[in-house]
Amino acid sequence: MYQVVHSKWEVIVNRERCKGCEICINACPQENLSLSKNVNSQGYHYVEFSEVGKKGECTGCKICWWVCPEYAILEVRRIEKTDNGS
Amino acid sequence: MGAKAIAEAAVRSGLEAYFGYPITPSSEIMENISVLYGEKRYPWFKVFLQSASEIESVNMLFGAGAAGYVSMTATSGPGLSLMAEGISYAYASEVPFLIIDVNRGGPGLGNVAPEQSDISFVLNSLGHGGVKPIVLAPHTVQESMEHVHKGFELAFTYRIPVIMLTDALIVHMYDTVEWEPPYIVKPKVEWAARGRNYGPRHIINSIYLDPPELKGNKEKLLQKQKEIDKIAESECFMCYDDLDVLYIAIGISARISKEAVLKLRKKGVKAGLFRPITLSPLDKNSILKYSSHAEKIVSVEMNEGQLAQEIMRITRKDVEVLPYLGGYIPDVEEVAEAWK
Amino acid sequence: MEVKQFSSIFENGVTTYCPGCEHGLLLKFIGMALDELGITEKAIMVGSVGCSTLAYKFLNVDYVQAPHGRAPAIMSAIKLLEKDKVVFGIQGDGDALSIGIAELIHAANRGIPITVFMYNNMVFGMTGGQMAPTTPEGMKTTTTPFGRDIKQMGPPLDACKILSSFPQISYLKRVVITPKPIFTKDRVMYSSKEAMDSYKAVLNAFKTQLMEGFSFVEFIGTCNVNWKMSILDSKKYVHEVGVKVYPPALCRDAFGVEKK
Repeated sequence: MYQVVHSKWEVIVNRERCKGCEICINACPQENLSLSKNVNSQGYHYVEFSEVGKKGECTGCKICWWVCPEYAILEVRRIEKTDNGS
Repeated sequence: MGAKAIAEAAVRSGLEAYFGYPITPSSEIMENISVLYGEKRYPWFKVFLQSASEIESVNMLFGAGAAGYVSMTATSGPGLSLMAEGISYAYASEVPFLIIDVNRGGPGLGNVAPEQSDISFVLNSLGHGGVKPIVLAPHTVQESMEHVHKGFELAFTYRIPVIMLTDALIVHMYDTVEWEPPYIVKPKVEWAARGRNYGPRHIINSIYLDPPELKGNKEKLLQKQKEIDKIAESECFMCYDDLDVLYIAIGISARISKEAVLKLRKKGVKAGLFRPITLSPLDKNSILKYSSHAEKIVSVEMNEGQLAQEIMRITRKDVEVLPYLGGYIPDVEEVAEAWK
Repeated sequence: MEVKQFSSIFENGVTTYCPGCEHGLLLKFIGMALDELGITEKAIMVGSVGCSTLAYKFLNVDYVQAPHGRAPAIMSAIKLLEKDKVVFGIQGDGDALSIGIAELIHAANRGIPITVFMYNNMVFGMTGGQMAPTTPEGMKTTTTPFGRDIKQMGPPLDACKILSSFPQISYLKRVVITPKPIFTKDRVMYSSKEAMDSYKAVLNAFKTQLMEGFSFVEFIGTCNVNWKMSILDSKKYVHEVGVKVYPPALCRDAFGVEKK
């Protein structure tokens, strides 16, 4: 048996699809999403995810995933680290 | 009746879907087909539907063709005008179907008497962007039946809309026919949009936003047109030697002109009749061959001279037009007189 | 860890829509619904003319490109011949209600089991923001520079009202797909309820088709570029003006798919 020692949420962003409309940035209650300074191949500033936002960690509410019109936010998923290292 | 013969020929040739909108003088084809729908002898005849307009029928044909089904409709001049949009899209996205154009008097509402005034419209560009469908021109009821079968066959071989240009007289004519279809047209349609079904994806599309892509598609269509040019077919009736007069006609005018030619031959006048069987592609080699031996060329048409224009463009010779306008039918005596 | 992929959405497919437009949201939901119901392999998409034309670059299903407004006719023909397939079309408001209203009405009246998704952004989007039959009163477009005059142009067309008079329609719904902006003390937030409702409507429309019924869903969305508004203003406009002209409603649910 192993124990979950660390568990947190993560937002997977497809940079190429993102058009920087900022809807998800506004929608995030924890303000974990922000616009990158870099641009993708289409010339848009894309969205970046940081684990800790202005108001705390990502809670996995998936609002960003629901409102993203480009399907650039591919998945909001839970990452679990266990004491056996996996 | 011609309409009944066409209906029988279509269903026996493997017609799977008919979408139509009534318009005189083509309605009889639709009526005769509706009777055959649902018969146990023809299990392949799946759909018969009366649409809300010609625009809807041509788009239903587009849908059926895109899904790889043998489909057709019958219409007349005003309906063909409405269908031009759909035919252009179908030509660009390589969707096959058969349209029977039962020519009536035009332009505008015109009348419902036979005319041959859609020739220029059908041949030059049936829709925007340069459209050249295959055009067949039968001159008897018997040939109409054969052409329906041929139309299905050509449409699927070349993935192109096929127009059968006929007139109110042939469709309403009673004639003896003898015909069994050589086989049922059942095309192989691995390109058809019937769902991915765990295989590759099928796209029936006519939008190419990038100029190189559109250029590629147009070149592909032109290449296909060159292949199609090889199927050009024509008949030259009594063209044995140097001719005093070469008549040129299609459809019912051709049938009448044949009588005139026979009459002149009895008198000792060397007359012949050139009749394009496929109006597009036009059999250029034959027309050049026969016209070069002819003293005089007379085009017998039920319009102001649309076929003559096409022939002049190829032969660069003067073509005399014997026009019959407004629904009048060529008279054998008059046609024969025109040789002088 | 692998990212979950939808079999009906291209892995690298990029939509052709302007930033902030909800048309892409609709495509995403269609892809998700196709996957959830397991009908990707037998789906045939019919595109119309307008912004929906290029949907085939995003959704990986069979595709037929219809002439302007004629998608319902093509869908009907395909469905009649391929009865066990799922046939759906994406149309815009100009496509479905202006040039193609005859085809839409007749397909709906026949009740052929097809699904029509109409994205209503109240203008002609692809041609550059001209007035559509659905443009609300007073809205400025490139062809109505002083706002739409109801006396001359008539009131905006209401697709659900028109279609609810046909008895053979099985599922008829209007939803707002635009996320609602919520103004808090220090910032603006968006709600995800509209998006979730829209996804449910897409799902139910497909379920209705699988139960042999005609389904039509109208999505009220934005076109911020042609409305000449910021993304936030356009979303505000939909929730302040748009929903008053086009209130979301379930007009017909013959098979009760909504309750299940």
